[in-house]
Amino acid sequence: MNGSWGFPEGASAAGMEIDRLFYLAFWLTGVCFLVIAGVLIYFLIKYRARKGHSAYYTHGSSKQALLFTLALALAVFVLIDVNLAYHDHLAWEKIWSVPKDLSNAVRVEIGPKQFEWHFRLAGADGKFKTEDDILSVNELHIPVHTPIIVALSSRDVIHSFFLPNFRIKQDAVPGIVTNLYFKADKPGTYDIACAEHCGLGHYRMRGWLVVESQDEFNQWLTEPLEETEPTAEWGWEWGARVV
Amino acid sequence: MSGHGKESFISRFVFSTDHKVIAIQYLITGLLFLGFGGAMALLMRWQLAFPWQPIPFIGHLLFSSSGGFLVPEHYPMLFTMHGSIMVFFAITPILLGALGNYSIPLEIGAQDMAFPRLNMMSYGSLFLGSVLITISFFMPGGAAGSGWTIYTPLSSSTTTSIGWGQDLLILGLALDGVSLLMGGINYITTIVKLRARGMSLRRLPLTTWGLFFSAVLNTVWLPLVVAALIMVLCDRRLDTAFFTAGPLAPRGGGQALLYQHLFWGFGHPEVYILILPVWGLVGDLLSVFSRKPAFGYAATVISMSTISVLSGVVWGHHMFTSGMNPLVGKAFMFLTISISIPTAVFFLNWLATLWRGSIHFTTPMLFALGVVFVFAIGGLTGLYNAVQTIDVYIHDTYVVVGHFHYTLAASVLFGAFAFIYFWFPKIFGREMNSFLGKLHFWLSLVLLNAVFFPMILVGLRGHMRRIADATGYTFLQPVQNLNVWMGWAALFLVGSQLIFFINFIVSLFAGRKASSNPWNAASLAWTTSSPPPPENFEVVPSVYRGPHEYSAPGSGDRDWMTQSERGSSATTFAGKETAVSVPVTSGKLGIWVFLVSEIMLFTGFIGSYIVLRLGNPVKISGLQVLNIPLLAINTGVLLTSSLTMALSLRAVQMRDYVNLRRWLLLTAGLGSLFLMIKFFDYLHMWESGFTISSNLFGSCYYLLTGFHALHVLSGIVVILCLWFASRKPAFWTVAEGRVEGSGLYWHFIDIVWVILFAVLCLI
Repeated sequence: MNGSWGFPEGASAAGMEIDRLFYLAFWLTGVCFLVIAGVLIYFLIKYRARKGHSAYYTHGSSKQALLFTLALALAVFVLIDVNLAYHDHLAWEKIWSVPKDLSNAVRVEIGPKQFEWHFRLAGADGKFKTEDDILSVNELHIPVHTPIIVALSSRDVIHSFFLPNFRIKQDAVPGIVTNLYFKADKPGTYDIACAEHCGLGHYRMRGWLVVESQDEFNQWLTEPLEETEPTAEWGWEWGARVV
Repeated sequence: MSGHGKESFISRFVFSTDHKVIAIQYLITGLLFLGFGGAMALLMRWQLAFPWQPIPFIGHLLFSSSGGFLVPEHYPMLFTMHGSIMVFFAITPILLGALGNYSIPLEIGAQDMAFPRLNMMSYGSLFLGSVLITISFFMPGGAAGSGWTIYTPLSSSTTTSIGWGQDLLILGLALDGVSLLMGGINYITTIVKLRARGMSLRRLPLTTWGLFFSAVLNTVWLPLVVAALIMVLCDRRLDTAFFTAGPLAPRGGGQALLYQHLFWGFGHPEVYILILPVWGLVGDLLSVFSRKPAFGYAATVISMSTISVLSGVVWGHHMFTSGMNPLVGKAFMFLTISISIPTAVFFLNWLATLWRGSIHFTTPMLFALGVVFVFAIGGLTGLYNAVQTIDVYIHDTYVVVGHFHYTLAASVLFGAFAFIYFWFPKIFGREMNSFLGKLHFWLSLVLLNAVFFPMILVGLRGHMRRIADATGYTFLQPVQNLNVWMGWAALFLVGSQLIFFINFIVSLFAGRKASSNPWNAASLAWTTSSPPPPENFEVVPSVYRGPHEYSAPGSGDRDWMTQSERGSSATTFAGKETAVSVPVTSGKLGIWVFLVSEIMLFTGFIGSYIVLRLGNPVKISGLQVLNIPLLAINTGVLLTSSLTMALSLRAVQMRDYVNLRRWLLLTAGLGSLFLMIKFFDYLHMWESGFTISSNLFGSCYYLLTGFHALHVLSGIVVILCLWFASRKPAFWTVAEGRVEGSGLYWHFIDIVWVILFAVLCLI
């Protein structure tokens, strides 16, 4: 099912929910399209102008026509609109509802700037604003099967943190903090892309998300820092709102 | 109206007030920019198919400095200007400017627009705008590169959008906005006031209805984006920070997302502004060429109005990933997907119009049917973008690009072509070649799907929009073949449009002479000669029936009855012959429509002020900073001027010449006094260190009151013009309407001041 439209390889259970919702929408709209196109082509052939054939005079303003119109409107509303909204609601609850128990969650602060992804993790002590904070550019390591809570804020223009394999994205807006929650179910190295036009280097604002086992992750936490640049004073330890 | 024939070339074709000539000016402008925008699309498709490779043939001409290939700076300019030009300078002029101007007076039986000189200025404003965006390509730093959406803070900071290209684009769009507002005032007033005897609202062609709703949406929503763009310009050049926040902002207080709300508040209605006339046109053309009345006329018009209302409350679906509260997102999602209900009614009525018809496959009919087909894809793919959870994945990917190319590029462009092929004989008195027209249709239909459908496919694979090069990403490795395919398909698609341009130009000079009604159509435009005389109709027609009377029983050997012929079956369709009586003069209606747009402009400014102030933790009260007694005195001055303005209207009504001039002069004098006090207030505050860039409150204060002062200034100019005009006796025939209209504007300015004074002090 996954391969037919060539979605990127899925790496989370939540992402699969989105694929399922997509296929529901695909069937609904597909049927609509086939009906419209089918009727259109059938009518074009059947009622083409030819000798001995003349048009039937009607304004379609009869009571039957009105009832038919209302019935169609109702059908579209219930079968498509309400149906999609309901399933969207279910999927949203599954994907975005943050679990109550966050004791083992990994928190990440992402402060992108033109055209780099800057990540900050709390380090071994689990606290930000301490000596062992992990700073990393364009490469984020996370443990598999662990809830990841992200806080985003941009250091210049708007960027959008996009994980195609997880089917999620969240804008990083200067001046405010936005949040994102996800969980990886498959180890591997995945693309991080910027989805919001952020300037001439937008196309190369690429990062790597490395999903690895808890041990490998712990090992990574102890590796020396690549970045020494001081980071902006924002994030959980500084209060959620940036001014 | 007389004397058109004796005028010089300049006054006849350049500074014409004839709606038909102005329509042709719009059409030519739109077609030129259509070609321009198409060429830019080809450069982009080349870059995506073969990143950073030298462009064959033309590369060295265009990009000699880089050695014939694009550099990263170029690509954002290309997609920014492609989008802006296609939306505002190609499609809008063709559909609103040309179709609107040409068809409205002819279809409703009017001799011209309600305000012909305003109409001329409307094109002039668009022309100036198009000059500005054209020169923006040659500015140091190049054209604008922040996307047609001009998202802040990328656009609003001169460190991230260097040079003057961005400023020129904003000014060009603002001029286009002014042009559209003037057009909107004209379209609304003309449709309401200038209908021929018997042209009841139920007898308007659907195209006219579409244009009417489109003009209403423009009047209401366009001022919001104009307000936002002016604030972006202030951020760029006056060192304010309305939309810049975070480290880029010199001082805190700005809100980047506020711009998105204002932009999409207009931006989403904009797609309906463009598609509504097309929907109407399709309804009319399916009827003409099925030789059958449009099915469910009333239901179609009601659906149009429903969508017009809904279009104003769905903008949030562009911002699902911006950090919006999920509950708010759900409301926006539900409102958005419920647009599928009126849309379904359109499809039902279009298909039912074909049902049991006698379908003639002329070129305009093919394009109208093409709209039904491509809009089905465009509309249905819209559902994916509207559903919040799916959108979180596909937002800002090529799914979105494919979707809006199906709706805006394919559907609207097919509508534009249907319009041109259908109206060409009426406009130019010659027929277009029908073989070339059909060839153009079939090639366009196939190639357009060959370009736009793969966009959706690569989007589903995650291909971000606005990236110059997809080859660097692991997950995008499989799409590069499709990018190459789209490059070739786009080349052929743009190439196939040459058939249209050749057909257009050759038919203009060598096409077969057209009769007055080559399509056997029933609406009023087809009862006059092709091309119509300057006054449109030799005798202003009376209307006896609806616009779609085809194949009515008892219509004799013809299968149609024009709206203006008095036949035995004159009462076959409901509605009586009645004179159009709307109890308001054209001038007054025009002023009211104008005031609605002014109200929306100030709503944009004042609303932004409130949002920015409430969101800013640094509280500066207007009561501490402002010179309240001085402002209170100034308020008194302005309110007194409202009284003198009211007295001048009373003087007109009593035919009191002397007092009218006295009161007018006094009003202008009080207005000037207000401005002088304002000036000294500014001067004093500025010298004491409170400038437009001091803090958020300063920026807002100078922006709001400065804009208001400009309105006062223009009000004074209008009143002084009245004062000068009132010296001539001829003035008295129009005096009451003029004074009343100016009075409305003046009172509006005063009310705005009172509101401004209150919010500046209280919030």
